[in-house]
Parts: sequence; structure tokens; C-alpha cells
Amino acid sequence: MDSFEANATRLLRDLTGSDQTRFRPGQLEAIREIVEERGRAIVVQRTGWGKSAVYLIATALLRSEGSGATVIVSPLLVLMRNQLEMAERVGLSAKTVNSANTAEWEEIFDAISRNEVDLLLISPERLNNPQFREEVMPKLFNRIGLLVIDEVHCISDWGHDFRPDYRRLQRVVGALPPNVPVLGTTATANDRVVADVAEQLGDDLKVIRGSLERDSLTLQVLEIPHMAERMAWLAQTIPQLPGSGIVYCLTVHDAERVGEWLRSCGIEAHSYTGEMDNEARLEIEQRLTGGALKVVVATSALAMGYDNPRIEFVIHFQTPGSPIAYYQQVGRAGRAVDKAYGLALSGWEDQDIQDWFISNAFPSQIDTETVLRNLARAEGSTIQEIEGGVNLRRSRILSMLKILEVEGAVFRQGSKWFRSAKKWVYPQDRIEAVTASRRAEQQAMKDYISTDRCLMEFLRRELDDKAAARCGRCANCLTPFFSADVDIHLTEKALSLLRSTQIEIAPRKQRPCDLGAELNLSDHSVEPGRCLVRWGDPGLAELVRSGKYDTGRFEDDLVEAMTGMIKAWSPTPSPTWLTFVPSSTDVVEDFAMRLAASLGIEVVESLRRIRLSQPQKTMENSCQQARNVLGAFEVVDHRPGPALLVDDMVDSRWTFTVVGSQLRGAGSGPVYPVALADTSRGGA
Amino acid sequence: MTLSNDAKAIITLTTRLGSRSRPSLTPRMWNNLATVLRDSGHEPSDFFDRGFDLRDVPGVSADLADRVDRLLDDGAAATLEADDLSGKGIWMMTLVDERYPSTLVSRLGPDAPPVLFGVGTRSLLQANGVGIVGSRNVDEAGAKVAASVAEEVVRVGRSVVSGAARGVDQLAMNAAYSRGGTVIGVLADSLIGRIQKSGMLEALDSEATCLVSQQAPSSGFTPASAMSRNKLIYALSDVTVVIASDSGSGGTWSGATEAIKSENGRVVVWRGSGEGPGNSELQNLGAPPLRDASKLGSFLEQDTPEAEQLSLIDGG
Repeated sequence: MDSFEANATRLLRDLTGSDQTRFRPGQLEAIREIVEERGRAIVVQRTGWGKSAVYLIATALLRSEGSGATVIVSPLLVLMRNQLEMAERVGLSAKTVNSANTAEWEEIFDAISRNEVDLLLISPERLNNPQFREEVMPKLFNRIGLLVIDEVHCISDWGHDFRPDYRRLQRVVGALPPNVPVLGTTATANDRVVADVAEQLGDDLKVIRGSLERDSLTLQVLEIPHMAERMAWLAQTIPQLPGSGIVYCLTVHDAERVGEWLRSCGIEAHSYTGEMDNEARLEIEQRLTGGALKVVVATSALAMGYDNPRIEFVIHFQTPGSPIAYYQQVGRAGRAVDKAYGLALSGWEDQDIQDWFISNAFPSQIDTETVLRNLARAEGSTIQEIEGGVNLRRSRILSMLKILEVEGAVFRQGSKWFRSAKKWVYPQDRIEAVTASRRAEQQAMKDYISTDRCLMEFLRRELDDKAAARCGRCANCLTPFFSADVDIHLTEKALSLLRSTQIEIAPRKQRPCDLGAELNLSDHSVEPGRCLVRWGDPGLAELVRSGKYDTGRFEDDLVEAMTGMIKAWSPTPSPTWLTFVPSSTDVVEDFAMRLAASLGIEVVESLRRIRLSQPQKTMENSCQQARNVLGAFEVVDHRPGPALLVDDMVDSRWTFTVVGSQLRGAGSGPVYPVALADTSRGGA
Repeated sequence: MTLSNDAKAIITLTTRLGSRSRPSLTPRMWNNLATVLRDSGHEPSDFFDRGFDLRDVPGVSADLADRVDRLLDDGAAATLEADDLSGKGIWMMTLVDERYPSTLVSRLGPDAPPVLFGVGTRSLLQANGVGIVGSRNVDEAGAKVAASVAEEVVRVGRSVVSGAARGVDQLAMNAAYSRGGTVIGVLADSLIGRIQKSGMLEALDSEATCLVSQQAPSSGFTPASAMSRNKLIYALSDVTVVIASDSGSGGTWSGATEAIKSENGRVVVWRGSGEGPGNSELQNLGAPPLRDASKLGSFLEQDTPEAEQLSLIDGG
């Protein structure tokens, strides 16, 4: 043992608190590369291998040689807290800079400039914040001693989890002086992603790869096509499972719905999605860790950010589009327990949802070029101004701008966006290649569902783990542990939940862009309304679809369900008359007539179409939607009392908002919108 | 854009990117240091090597070595701002870049800017252009002359080089651009502000325009930056035509007299309708007169391919 190894080992033992601890294969090698060579390395090792020991020890050694502070870029909120504690054990002073502690920033930066901080943790999002880049980064990267990029696979758009914020890191690394060592860590990267990361972090990257075997994990696949049956299966199976776990869904809506379902079955469950704020997410994570929850029903938002070694089962309600994404999520189970289950349920809707994610992963060429052209003509544009020029929903525009920003095609200054001086060419070839690669991964996931070979070996091969071998534990190596049979009564109950879901239609309050004086939302706004089903769901939503597209008539079952929904809701003051949004066929009118009869209130043909508009569902953002419907209808008749305003579909809510405002302006009482199906889409 | 390690070293040592208060080296200090380094077998990127100490290089003062150490200490801040600039479409070209215009080295010598910042088509800088300079407040006759000289520059297949200021500069650049010619605008300040003006991106996209500056892109105007801008115009041009100059003062006058005196560019002065009060004095100081725009060609050097010029210089 040389003196370097002796020093490093002493630090390792401080870290673990045991004087017997030895380095695992690869750890010392990585530390040497960073400290002795000031080199660049990527460590691909399973979670729990001890990646943090590498950078904590490297930091301690570099600091003792007079190097600057280590900057760790990590998406892990919880991990950050653990890191701060671990750092103290080796005598390092660690700080974090995030949106939750802005008040402390000044103090932290002062400490950095006095060279009193050894380790600074930041999230990748920070690097894309212009103010942070201009005011903070120069101080931060001043004399940086080591850059650590956690979850480095996110830097590659070949990966399953590409994040534009990470792409910025590629440029940061490219801009750093070559004598700054860089360490990337990940548990999920196949050869292609490693090669791409190597290209981005520098040619001389040292790759340290270990086995991705998970001894405690027991895998099984169950094909249960119908959603209601899968819900029933969860409700009957989860109470039998030991400990606590995670159910993964592909969409926010499904995560919310399945969470609600499990709670209604008496299971301590909570949903967890990217639409919740950090604080709420953290609280759920803590409740799961503390054992207060049996199960968290999550989207992929609960991925890298959660570090609980005692998870005993991970169930996929729907399967993700790649075996690597699957390995990462299922790998949350069984880290510090002897046995854990990884169960993949496969349903009918999986492919549709995966397809949607694949085809919407990148903005289209025509939309991108339109936005860039408009930006080039303007001397800076706000997001509202950009919306006026392209028919895309705001979230899509923002994600496009983020990609274009890290590509150097646009930049932000204050609240305005500018096109950069670089003529940017849409990377059609690269996007096609990446899409083809995602299609191949989607196929590989299908193969996982249908294979009769060892499941763990299959996943490890997909990750190019050279040591992949038969696990001898999974349902394919042994016999299935769980049956796919479901209780018929539970299935019925799940089905009725799927059918009874009510969705609130929140009125629009903000004028999206300059639309002239026609729209008066402050005096003439509509009331909150209700929608019967979500488009594409099983159950009643199937009747809505066939009524609209196959038979041209909404069945009486829907009139009955809608009547029941309105009675249960009972808005006050209670509506005394009903009108509807005229459509090109009389399908809405026909439905409204029967609904009025069923409710026992008068139906009035209040609205006449005076201009042909585009189908509202083809309008993608508020400005386009409001503009499309403004002036399309006129009020020809009304009653002074409260009214129900009926339409078949609701997406942006602008039709209801604009038409309802016109009715109010004409002298109607409060207007309650009601619709059969919500066609707006909630992503993951 | 990925910067080479040599480029990163030069940016770190000679610019104020990252912090406006960095004690960056002047062009002359850098060029002298670069010569010393080259003589002892080193390259700029050696600054990043562990174990390299400038104090070991003969002919380097301790003061200079200390200053370089301080600059290297916050090198990351400088190179990160360089990356931010490239995100805005601004390129940086250092003296070690093979596309760096050789005329700047041959004409400005130790004052050649170590880093050029720019946007647009940088290959325009490699061929000698024709400078057109003059007062901001030019009369109608002067405006006409500026335009007709610019059109002649386009006709003979050269780029118009100008200061991109109001008056003669813009008239000449617009005339050349609208005739389908190529234009090099040399800025004294605020490169970033320029690319946020409408119309500029279209001009850049057409690949007929290049804006270049030796000042950091967000820096403001100073008399010194105006002087170095003038030097760049003359040095990037085969000849520079003074359309209208004041006498004894003003940017045009000082730029032209400096060029005549230090021989960092050839000056031709317009004589005729539209000329300024200083034009005849510039002729007296040795600038040959141009009396007919169509005779511009007689002042231009024969089209010698750039590569041959280079080899002549290097071979000599």
C-alpha cells in the first residue's frame, strides 16, 4: 500500500466509522484518476456501490493539496441532505445552494471566496438560470477543484432520461480549464450512452464499470390488459406484500387515480407526480421512508430524487418505454433488505402512452423554425408574444426554448427571449436516429414482457453488463410468485371508480394576449364547471368516443351519467335553463335536448355560429384558442336565470370561457359549463 | 463552439471575461510573453499543466508570473463566460487560431489583439477588405460618395470594412449590403446589443456580414476602445478610404493620422464634392487622393492568394 492509498483508506474508514473497511474494486482507481492525474472519469456502478465515497475522499485529498472546492451537480434533493452529513465525517464543510435557501446564498458565497467551503451541491436547473449563470457561477467556478456530475447519463439524449438542463453541463465542462478534474456517476448507462458521455466530457475519459446485479431483487412480469383489472390486482396484492413500496404509472392522471383507488380500498397510499411542488414531494418521501405509507403511486418524477434503501417492492402499473428506464425504477427496491419484488404489469394502453412520449420528445422542425424566425424579427419577445406566433401549448414552447437555449440558438435576457447570432440548423438526422433508438428500446421492453428467459439477466444485458448471468431468483428462473387472477368484485368496483370520476372545469381568468376589448373576463366570467370523463379512459369514455365518431349519437347511458353528475354536484344557485355550443353536426344539440328533459329544465338555443372556426382541439395555446373562438358565435336568445352551458369536449376551456362571457354580457345569470369528455392531456 | 486549451489560456490571461476587475494582460504584454514562451519551447496551454511554473521560464519577471497566477486562479469564470457568449452566437478567435487574420499580425505586431470577438461569417476577415471611414455627420454629397465608393468595392469583389457607426460607416455598409456585397463591421463596444437589433440577424444569416471587436461583447464605449477599433479597420483593409474628416480632431482624423504615421494600413483620401475640412491636410500628410470612385481599383494590391502571402511572410 503506497502512501496515497494509505491516506485514502484512512479517509474511507472515517467515512464508514469502521477501521476494517476496504475499498471496493474501482473506488481507489477512480480516486487516483481524479487526484493524481487531475483526469476525467465516469463511474457506472449500481446504486449503493459507494460513488459518494469516491468524490468525498477525492475532495478531501484535493483540498489537502490546496485545490479549490468541489462542485457537485445533482438532481437529488434528499441525497443532498445525506451528503452534507457524510461530508462532515471526513471533515469537509459542505453547502448547498438551491431555490429553498436563497437567503443564505450571500453568506455561502462569501465563505467560498474565503476558501472555507470544501463541497458545494447544486441542482442542474440552477445552471440554466441566467441570473445564476451571470452572478453566481463566476464566483462558484472560481478556483473549482473538482466537478462531479451525478446521474451523468442525463447528459445524453441517447439515454432514457435526457434532460436539457444537463446538456448545459456539457458546455460547462467544455468551457472549464483542462486541469479541472471531472467525475460523472450513474447506475444506468449502456455502452452507447457511455460513449456519448465520453464524447461530451472529453476524450481521455476513464470508464469504471461494475456489475449491475441486484442480489435481493426478485422480478416477475404479469400481463393484465384491462386497467380496471390491474387496479383490482393492486388492491388485492399490495396488502399481502411485506414492507413498503412504489407503484409507477406513466401519466400524472393515472398516478392520481390509482392513488385514490388504493386509498378507497383502505391502503395507506399517496400519489406523487412532477406537478406537485418540492415541499409536498419531500413530505411524501419522508412519510414513505418513515413507514407511514404502505405505497406511493408515482410517475417517473419519483426516480433519482428518492433514496430509501428499505423499499421492498416496486410495481409498474404501466411499463416504461425502455428496459434501462425500467431497471432504474425497479432498482429502487431492495437496496438494504434481503428480498424485494420488482413486478411489471403490462396493459393495453402502455404502447399508446409510450408512443406519445416518443413522438413528442422533440419539437417539430416547422414549429422550431417558426419560433426562431419570429424571434429573429423581433427585438426580444416575451413568452406571450411567442405564443401568438405559433400554435403550440405553452409547456411545449417552454421545453422547445430550453432545448434551443442549451443548443445556443436562443438566449434569455430578463423576461425576453432573443435568437442568437448563430444560424442554427434543425438536427433532423440526429433526432431521427435518437427516435429510432427509442423505438428499438420500446421493442426491447416488449421483449422483456414476453421473454421466458431470466429477467434480471435480460435487463443487465440491455445495460451492456458484461457479467450478466442467470439470477436464479426471478419468476422465469423459478415459478411465478403471483397469479394474474383478479377478484371480480374488486374489478367491478374499480370500473365504477373509472366511470364516476368527475373533473372540474376551472374558468379561465387571464386574457392570454392582446385580443382587443371584445373579451371582458373581469365582469363576465363563467363559474367552475364539471366534466364527466377523461378522453381515452376505459368505461364511459369509450361511449363518448363511439358516440362522437362512430354512431353520431351519445347514448342514453351518458345522459343518465351526466344527470347523476350534475345532481351530485348541485351548483348553487341552481341552473334554471340550459343551452349548448352548436357543432357542425347536431350531436351536441341532440344530447343537450335529452339532458334538459332528464333534468327537467328548459333548453334554449342561445348561440348561433357566425364564423367558421378551426376545431378548437387543433389550437394549442391560449392565445390561439381564444382568438379562434372570439367572434365565432353570437347570442341570439337567453334567459335571465343561472344556466348550464353544454358541450361534448373540453380541452383548453377557452370556448366555455368566451361563449359564457358572451352569455353573461347578454344578461344571463351565472353560467356553469358541463362537458362529456376532457381531451386535455396530462403528461408525466 | 469548443475552445482549444491554447485558446482558453489566452482568453483567461488577456480578457476581462468573468470579472471586469481582472488584471488582464494588455495585447503587448501578452504578445511579448508569447514570444518568450515560444522561445523556450512552451505553448499557451502549458499554463494548465501541473508542474508548469512561469517562474522557471527565463526572461519572465516575478511580477508578471504573480499576475498570471492570479488570472489563472479564476480562469474558470472567464472560460465559462466565454461559453455563455458562444451560447449567444458570439465566436472568439485567438492569435493561435489558424483563421486569425494574418494582416493583423503583420501590421499591428505586438499590438495585435490576442482575442477577437465576433458574429457572422468570420472567413470574410481572411481576405483584405477596403475600409471606408468618415464623419458621423456627413452631408448629402458625402453620403453619395460613401455609397458610390462602397458600390465600387462590391464591384471589385472586396468586403467593405467600416466602423458600423452612424453616418459614413452605415451608409457605406448599407450600400454594399444592398448591392449583394460583403461587409465587415468593426465595433468599439456592445457587440451583444448589436445582435438584439432587428434586421441584424437576417444580415448575419445571409453570410454576407461579419461584426468583429477586440472589446468584450458587453463592454461600453471608451476613447481607447474607439482608437483600437480604428486600428483594426485600417489593419483589416488593403486600403482605407477617408470620405470626410474633420481637421485636427475627431475619430476619423485621429484614426487616419495614426495609420499614416505608424504605417499600420494604407490611407487614401477622397478629394471632391462631399469631402471634409481635414481631407486636404490628410493629402498633405501623405495620403494619396481619390477623385473618382471608379478609380479605386488602382489603389488595390493585386489579388494575391492569402496562403501565398502567408508563406512569403513565414519564409522570410
